[in-house]
Amino acid sequence: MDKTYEPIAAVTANGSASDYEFTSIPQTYTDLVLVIMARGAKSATMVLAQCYINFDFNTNYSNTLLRGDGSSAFSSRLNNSSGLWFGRLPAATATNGVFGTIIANFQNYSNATTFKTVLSRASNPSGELDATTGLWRSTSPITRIGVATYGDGNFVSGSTFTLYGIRAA
Amino acid sequence: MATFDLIQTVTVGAGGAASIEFTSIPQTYTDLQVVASVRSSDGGGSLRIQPNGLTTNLSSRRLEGSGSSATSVTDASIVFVYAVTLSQYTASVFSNITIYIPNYAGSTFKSISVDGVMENNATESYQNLVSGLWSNTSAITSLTLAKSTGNFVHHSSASLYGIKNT
Repeated sequence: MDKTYEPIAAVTANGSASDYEFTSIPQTYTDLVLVIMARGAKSATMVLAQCYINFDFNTNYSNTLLRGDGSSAFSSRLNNSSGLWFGRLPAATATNGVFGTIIANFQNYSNATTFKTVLSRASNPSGELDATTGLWRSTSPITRIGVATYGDGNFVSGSTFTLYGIRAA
Repeated sequence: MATFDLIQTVTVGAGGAASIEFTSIPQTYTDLQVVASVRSSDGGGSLRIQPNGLTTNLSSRRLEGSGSSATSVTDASIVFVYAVTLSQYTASVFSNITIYIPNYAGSTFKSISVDGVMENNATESYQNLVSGLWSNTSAITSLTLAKSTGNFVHHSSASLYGIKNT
């Protein structure tokens, strides 16, 4: 049987970078799944992890966020953003040893006709949890995906970033 | 070799069961994912996730929608998911619950991400998004999904998948 869920690439952080990028993404899958287990090194309780596509840092993104912090729920919107919100990860002053999880789905990433939508779920057990829908207003196939704190410090050593490809057939 | 492997499926038999347990989980994968289809024998819709069968060092935060409001709560000593279809809800409807555990065999605390929904042909039904934590550095070798009250009914099922990143 053909593989339908394949690892494309995996990176483990060494503690010296705030930005990890997958390049030369094969155009042979139907969808992509990015799985992140990470923690920020900044002296803060949380740091925001964002995503950029095809090295585009222009204001071509929009986001709808649904968030729970353990005491209240709320939703917000951000138009003309320079990245996709993935969620806030635990950072240096959060409970020791706690990493956050982000699972993001990029549907129909290789088509050259439609804008690209992304669904992501972020779980920060010491902070909050997010469900986010994102839009990248470009018809270009996705060939590069980056994850960054946008200047908010490095990812700690041991953080992992894995990109999977899913084939519908 | 496939990188998204079915490890085990548990199907609840006639008479129901108070828990679903996966044992002897291989330590050869990167992450684990559980996909469950379950229904409750009573009016309790919660299940608790217990790594290695333990009930200590657990906590979670939930984001819950009921069809009329959204709330977020902290559960200080359990990983709690309110998404098991209640017995009084529309007959034959089973809930969908997905549990993702990265780095389950590693030596860090274990983060548990859960999406769950019950459905009901009425104004009320519940969706839960859960961020759970097991503050233990041990590898997960077994995993229990336990009803807080009542049983999982006959035909409830859960499948455990292993995911490799290489």
